[in-house]
Amino acid sequence: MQRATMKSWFLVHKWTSLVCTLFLLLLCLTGLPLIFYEEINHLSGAEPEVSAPQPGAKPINLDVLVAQALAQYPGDVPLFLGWDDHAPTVYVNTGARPDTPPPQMHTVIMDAYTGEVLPVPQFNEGVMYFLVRLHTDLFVGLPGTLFLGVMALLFAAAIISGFVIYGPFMRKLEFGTVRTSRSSRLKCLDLHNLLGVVTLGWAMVVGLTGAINTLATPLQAAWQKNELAQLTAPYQGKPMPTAPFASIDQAVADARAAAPGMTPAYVSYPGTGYSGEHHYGVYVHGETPLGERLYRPVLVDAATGALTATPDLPWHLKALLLSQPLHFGDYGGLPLKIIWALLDLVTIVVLGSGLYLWLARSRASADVRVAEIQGGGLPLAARETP
Amino acid sequence: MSRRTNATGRAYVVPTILALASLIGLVSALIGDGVFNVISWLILGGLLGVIAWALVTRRT
Repeated sequence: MQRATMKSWFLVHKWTSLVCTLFLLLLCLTGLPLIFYEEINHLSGAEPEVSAPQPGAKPINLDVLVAQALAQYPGDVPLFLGWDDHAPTVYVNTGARPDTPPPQMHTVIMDAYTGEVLPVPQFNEGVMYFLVRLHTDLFVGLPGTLFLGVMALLFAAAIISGFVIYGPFMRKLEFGTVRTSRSSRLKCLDLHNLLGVVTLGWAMVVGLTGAINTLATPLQAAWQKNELAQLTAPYQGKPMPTAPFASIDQAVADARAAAPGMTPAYVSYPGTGYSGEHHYGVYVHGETPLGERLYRPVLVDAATGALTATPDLPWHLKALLLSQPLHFGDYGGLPLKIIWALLDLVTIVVLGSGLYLWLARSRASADVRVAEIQGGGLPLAARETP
Repeated sequence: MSRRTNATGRAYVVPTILALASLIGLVSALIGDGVFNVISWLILGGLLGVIAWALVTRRT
């Protein structure tokens, strides 16, 4: 490779890394406990422990459960309700307004078969929620989320440029060589190269899917404005329906009938940002690991209870849904989560060693570094003395 | 192709295999449960094994 080209790649690697490293360290550190979100919630009692329903027991009417939830928070309106995949419970989110954002939502979790209100802490309080906010929006909402998305893209650029300069550097070295007996800089550099190149595929996928996830809110908004607005054109200009709404229990039953083989996962109320201004969005999903992620909305008129449409989500929302498991690592059982956590720790070492290499840099200019890369990783002795 | 280019190309063989295997490992558990999960565990866990192997045998 031309010397000038190599120098450009080296500088791209240096600067994309430097800009994103501190944020990436934050993301890796906060992401580590988030991998085990479910397990930690179970251990800390944030996840309700309920016994299996009696054989033949019928689930309580959802309208009753929603009324019960609203009674806990007088003045609130219903926002979402949903089911737990692993427990016979129903949750209801309520808030002061239909567009109440998650930090201000209230949640009531009930036994789906007895209706008992379960004593569990709110999802938007406590240490785990603090970590979620640090990891997803730095406590400043959408701008923070998009900023972290840009950091994730810089991380991807750092990985690519790192890969480009890896080859020439390793030209005279065996794969995996870690020279520990020369200088601490060289040891750190070899370690950085080894750990970085081995975890490259994983880090790239987790980084890019993380960047895709930061677009969730804008993509949802665009879908509502375009595809959904077309489907619900006759409703345009009509006032938003207010309580009493059409029966949610009936809406869910109708959605089940309209989407055979699929199970309802959650329902959005009008105005929450998931199903327009006039409809319930009964989101159903399949049973397979892939189908489980691909939710489909069944739109039910929230005033009359009439089934309006079962739109297919556009490709970009499907891509978003599929990128979630690839970012969270929650789709292959506990062993995959543990591996995910270990790879996350390796990434922390890659970031840390990269930062060390920059902080502990000698006065050597970029040209010396480029000479080192082009020399096949063999350092020039005179420049190696600390 | 010069000798230098060849040597550089050779340095990319193992990393490319590891990256492609990683993709298979990442997608496998998404496709199905059971054996598909095990494939993911073996491949992605194998990456950690490669690191351990290098740190033990390639340390100079």
